[in-house]
Amino acid sequence: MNVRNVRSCVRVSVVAAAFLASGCAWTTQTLEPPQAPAWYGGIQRGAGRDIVVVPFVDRRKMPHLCGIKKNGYSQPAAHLLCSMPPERWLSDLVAEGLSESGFDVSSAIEDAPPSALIVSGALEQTFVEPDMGVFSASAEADVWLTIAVSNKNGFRARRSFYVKGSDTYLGGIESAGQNAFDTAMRETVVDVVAAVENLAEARP
Amino acid sequence: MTLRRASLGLVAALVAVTQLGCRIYTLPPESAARLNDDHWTIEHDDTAPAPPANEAPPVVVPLVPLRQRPEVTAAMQTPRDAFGIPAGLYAVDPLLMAHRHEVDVRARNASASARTFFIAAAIWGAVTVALVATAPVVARHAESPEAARTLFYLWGGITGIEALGSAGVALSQHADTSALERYYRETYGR
Repeated sequence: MNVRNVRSCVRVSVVAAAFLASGCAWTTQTLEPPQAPAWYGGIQRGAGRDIVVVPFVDRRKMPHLCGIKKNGYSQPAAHLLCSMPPERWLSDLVAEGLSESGFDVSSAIEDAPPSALIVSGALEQTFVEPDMGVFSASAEADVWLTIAVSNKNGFRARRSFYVKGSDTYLGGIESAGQNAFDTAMRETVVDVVAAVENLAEARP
Repeated sequence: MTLRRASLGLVAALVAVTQLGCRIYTLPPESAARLNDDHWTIEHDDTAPAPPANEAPPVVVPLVPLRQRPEVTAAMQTPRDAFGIPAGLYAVDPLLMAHRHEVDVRARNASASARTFFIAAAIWGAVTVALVATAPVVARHAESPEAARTLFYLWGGITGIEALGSAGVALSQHADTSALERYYRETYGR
């Protein structure tokens, strides 16, 4: 191996390393809706009680984006989009979860009896972003939802839900980003349904 | 001179590969936990207006507290699982089961990542061994043996670090179970 060969070897190595570092993070990806959480049979705590789930509102700072991809230098390189508004997914899935729990769910406030709980929500954040580490990268998905529960008698309660999903990956972010997003969205729904049930139980 | 350039190039490549990134839009777990309330904040309590004397009061279906139901009381006596939750409770509380399902999904994702990184560690380890083992042979046939040997050892060192790092990532994979445990505490007061 002469000096020229060593130089060529080094050049090829540097180019290969730079290629590995840049990754294939340049294409826009669309995140699909998560599957509904798995609802199982058992005690239905709702007992036919009326509850209203108002479609949630979107208060995200960047409503056109559901996440980003990054290159090897941790700079944003491409967008992750949602195939439909995530606040709609969340309110639909929460309504479905409460219905599975035995509540009589509707979306019309006008027809609701005074004691019926009215669930409304605001999506503050839903974002998927790679967290670049030394030896690996993790797709992290944050979902931040504030829920307000009220009734026509004047009761009002509020609670903030912040759920993180993550999936560590070696190759591309595509499937890891979707996994992290699914996990965070589904867990948010389960958390909200559980918390509303506990609140409804505490307020006869 | 060649050795110096080679070393600089490799160090630059290593720095590029191991760029430490920081979160831009998402939050670190400890900040996220602060925004994840563990109870409701009651902003205004209702005092339902009394109905007129000639009207019957509205019928409100009272919900039987979960922990007072006989099937739940019986399930609480069953042996506890790894999370400290009575195993029989999953069959009667659908939301506890839904939370458990999410933990299982997270665990499956974590173990898939762990497998991937164990394989990566094995490959990097094999490359390390190959580089270190062939360095003396290559040096014997090279015009500048010292430079060739150093280059192979340097790459061997880098791939060795990658192997150890990948193994560390594989071992650090775990599923977040905080949502399940929090639901159990909130619902059953344990």
